[in-house]
Amino acid sequence: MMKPTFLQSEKYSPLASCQSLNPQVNNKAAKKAGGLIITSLVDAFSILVIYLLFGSSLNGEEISSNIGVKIPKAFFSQLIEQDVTLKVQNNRYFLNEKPVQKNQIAEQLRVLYKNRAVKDDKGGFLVVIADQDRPAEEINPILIAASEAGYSQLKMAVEHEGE
Amino acid sequence: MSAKHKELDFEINLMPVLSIMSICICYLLSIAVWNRMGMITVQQAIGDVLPVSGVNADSLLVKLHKSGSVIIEFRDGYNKRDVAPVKIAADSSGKVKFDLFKDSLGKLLNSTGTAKTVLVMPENTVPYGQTIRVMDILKSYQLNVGLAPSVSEEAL
Repeated sequence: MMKPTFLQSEKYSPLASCQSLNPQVNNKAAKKAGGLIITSLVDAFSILVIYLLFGSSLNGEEISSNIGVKIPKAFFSQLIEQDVTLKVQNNRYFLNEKPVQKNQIAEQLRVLYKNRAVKDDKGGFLVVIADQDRPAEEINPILIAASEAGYSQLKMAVEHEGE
Repeated sequence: MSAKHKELDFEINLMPVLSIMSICICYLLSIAVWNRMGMITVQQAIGDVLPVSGVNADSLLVKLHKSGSVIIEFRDGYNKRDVAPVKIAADSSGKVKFDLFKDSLGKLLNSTGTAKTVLVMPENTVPYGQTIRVMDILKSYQLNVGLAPSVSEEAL
């Protein structure tokens, strides 16, 4: 008669097999290590992966912000649209992630605006990223340069706050 | 001859699945965006833009001082009605009292009624975050917000 395997035994229990006192199995070769039920862990992981996959795909445009730039928060903001970005950090200016001198901002914006107007007639807008704790006078060169270049709309990047 | 006992149960090794899922989760957590970014649209004048007709629409001018006080002045159409500017003092820590500003602005717009545009003029050393917060409050009243370059305290 075929002896049933240990796992096929009716008396097999992962927890019981770990008991050193009053062991429930007679098999001398009982495994000391209990079986770990990980199906619920797989379920939890799969739900987490699906959630993060959906979460990462539902966002709109992404704009990189330097570590150390704390953008202000606002309730009544619109979804971010990326066109030309002008970032100011510690009185240093970055146009589309490239450093630019303060006196050259207007000229470079003018070139970008002209190229933009050739591609379509929408006129374009400028996204401004600045730290909330810095003084407002750091934004002045951007406002003046944008006005000279022809950008009539500025989009101030903020961290959207729910109400 | 004894028949060979055939095992009908089979085991699925879930360890590779768990490993792959852990890597996916670590990767997605590292690229996840937890803060939603938005934007506040600000209009500004460019070049020589002349008004079409002689009568200017009612508009407001909001001045932000470095002390944290806010002054709401009236321009154009409001001047004809002799509406006095509204001053909102700062709180004890020198910051703008945003709740009071919002309430005062609401009462003002309800009583005087027709302003659609507002120009924000901060003083040089006013924090950018306070300027944005003020513009956010103005946006909540569906006003067209413009931002003027900051000026010195004497000019303000």
